[in-house]
Amino acid sequence: MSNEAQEIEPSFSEKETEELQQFLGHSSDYYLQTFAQIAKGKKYQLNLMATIFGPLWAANRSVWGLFWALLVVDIVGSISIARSLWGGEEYPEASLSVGVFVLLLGRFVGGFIANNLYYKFYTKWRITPEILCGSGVQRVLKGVTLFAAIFPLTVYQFSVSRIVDFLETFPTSRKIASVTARAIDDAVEWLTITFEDMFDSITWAIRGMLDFLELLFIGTPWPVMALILLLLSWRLAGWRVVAFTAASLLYLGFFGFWDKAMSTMALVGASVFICLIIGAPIGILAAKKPRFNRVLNPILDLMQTMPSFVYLIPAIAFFSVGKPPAVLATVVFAMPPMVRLTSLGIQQVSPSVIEAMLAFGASPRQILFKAQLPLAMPSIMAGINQSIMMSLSMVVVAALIGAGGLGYDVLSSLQHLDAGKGLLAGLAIVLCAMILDRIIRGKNDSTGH
Amino acid sequence: MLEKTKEPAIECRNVWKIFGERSAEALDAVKTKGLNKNQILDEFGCVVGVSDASFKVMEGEIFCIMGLSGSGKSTLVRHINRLIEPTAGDILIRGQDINALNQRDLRKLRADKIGMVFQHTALLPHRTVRENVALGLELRHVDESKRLKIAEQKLALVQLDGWENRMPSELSGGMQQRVGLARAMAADPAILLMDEPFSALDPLIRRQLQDQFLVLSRELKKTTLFITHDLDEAIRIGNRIAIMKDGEIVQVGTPEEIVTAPANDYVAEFVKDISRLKLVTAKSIMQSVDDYLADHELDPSSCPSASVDASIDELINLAIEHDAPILVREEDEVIGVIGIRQLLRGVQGGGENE
Repeated sequence: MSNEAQEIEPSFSEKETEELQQFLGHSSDYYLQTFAQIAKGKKYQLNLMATIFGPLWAANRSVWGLFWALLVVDIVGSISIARSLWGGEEYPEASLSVGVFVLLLGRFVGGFIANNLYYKFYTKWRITPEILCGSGVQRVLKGVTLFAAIFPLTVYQFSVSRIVDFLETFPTSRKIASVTARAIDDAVEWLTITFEDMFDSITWAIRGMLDFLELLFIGTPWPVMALILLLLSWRLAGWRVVAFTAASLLYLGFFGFWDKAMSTMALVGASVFICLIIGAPIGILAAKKPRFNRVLNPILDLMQTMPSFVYLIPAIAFFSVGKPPAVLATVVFAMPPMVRLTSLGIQQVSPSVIEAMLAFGASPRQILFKAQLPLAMPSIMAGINQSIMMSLSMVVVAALIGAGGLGYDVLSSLQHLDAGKGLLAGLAIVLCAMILDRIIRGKNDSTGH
Repeated sequence: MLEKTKEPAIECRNVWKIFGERSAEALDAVKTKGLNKNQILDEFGCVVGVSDASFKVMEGEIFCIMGLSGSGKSTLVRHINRLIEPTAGDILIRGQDINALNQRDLRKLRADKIGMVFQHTALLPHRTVRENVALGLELRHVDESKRLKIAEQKLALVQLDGWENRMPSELSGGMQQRVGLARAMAADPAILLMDEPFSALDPLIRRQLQDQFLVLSRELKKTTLFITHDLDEAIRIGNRIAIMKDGEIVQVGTPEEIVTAPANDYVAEFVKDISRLKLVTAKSIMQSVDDYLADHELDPSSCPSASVDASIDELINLAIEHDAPILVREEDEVIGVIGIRQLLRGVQGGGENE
């Protein structure tokens, strides 16, 4: 009985066959057979059509992944052949046989895996029957067009010794770049002059805040400051962090980084404070207004991915050199996580909680302050933490425009090739970051309970 | 006082809710062309949540809306406090059209008159139990000492005294739901909306909470709209029941009416397994005296009597004790007779179409 059952050929039921025929279009008999083999476990059989026609077979059957793979192999093989045929002495390593071998190998491997890939495509089609199935002249034409656009030029470029000029480089226009750059220069100049008062008052406000923070951090006698930091670590994070903080403070003190570290902390404090008061409201707004969020997202991406040096240019243009522009450049760099995590935290508040608040007659403001913000707090704290870390990583860059502090030490040792001193200052920055991170994270964890 | 009892506490008039961007067009098509739910989905991409629901809930009544998931019962209940706006139709709370309210008055209505209990409790996880119960009062700017005191009273009402300073996450599901009930009652609202409050609990706890709720509601006499997917629960709790299917209200009636006279096969299928012993009354299974006398002899002196609302359960006890037909009396007048045959038919469920 059981023997008999095993010997029965795995074939498709009528319904499946009908489905398969619909999927396959023409020459369904061949594929019905091979698919049955694959379903049985025989995965690799040579598909003659795929071997001969390569990428075009793949295009015809909409297996585009295979199309691109075979196209690349064809190109590589053809380049080798072409180099040996007319590349001359330019390409001594080229050889005809290697090229032919690569071509044939590619086709045969393609031919062997074609059926298997096609079967996978079939299972995908069964889940979403809307995707294109069968075969078609249009798709072959598409494949031929792609092939014609890519294959000849690429093979030509790599195989001849001297190529036509216009292929070598992208047609550039120096003029466009210089005119645009000059226009931006003019705009910046105009802005600087027109809004001088505004920029000045921003500078003044930031300087005021920085002076206050520096007075606080540096003006406070070091034992008091150290005690405060240790107490904070103990209250918010526990004994381990106290030990770590103590060790780090000892390092900062003995190696002479104390004042500079405090100055850096003041700079970071000012930046993070500005990030918080600007970033948190923007994050709240983004969570509540999807349309605003759509506009905001690319801007945040831009702020995060733009090389941080680039911020220095407008900062100098509008605010000249010194600490205030350094703070501003840092703010631009460090604000995106603040905005994103605030927004995320508010969006993550369960809709049922919001509904309950509404049902008890809460106004939008009450919902924000009594439910959304408190529940988003862990996320907002993570945002502050991220902002601090990013500010600290900006410290060295900001030193370029006169931010001073630990960043200046790193910068000057870079200029004097003073590796030892630079590493020590770098370590000091890392320790500052870790102290702040551990203290804030400690609080984060304790609110979780 | 008399007038107050006559005016319904909640009234829905031809309420429609169609979800989707083209809901107005879809509604129009439903009304003029009579398309059904699936046609609306195909043609307009809109989902019909509630279709043409009308009902009244009287002052002090417990009104159950029973339906399976997707029947639109939770959508319908959210119209009562306008958490969802209807596509068409009116909702009146004590005669006041709530769609006409501005945001400010709507918030006041929600805070003062309507308490709501949710299936998944929806307590604020960052606040203590007491602060959660005081939430509604806090939103109305009641001062702290007063609202916390009220919260404690309400917690005692649901037998949770001693748990005031715990966090919701420390409580079991049943306890959390009791906190939700206390929260809904904190502002002493006239109306309670309960959206499947006991559905997520295990059967024993559910039974306990149902009993507790019944005791409470007898005491406080709050108008209650109770949503459930469980007909047993609806029958235990409701004075009247509305049965919903695909957004429509199929039948409204007392538990007895629903069980003895289901409006269609759908309802009949539901009530099939419901025990009739405590639901069906003498009135609906008795035979008129004349009919009875046509077939039988009757000696009134040896017969026991029962009132018209005596349940089958009680009638069976009488029948066992006396071994004679039972006379059904309304204000001392005999209006019907129940013989053993009627009684057995009543238990079986064929009471009227014998």
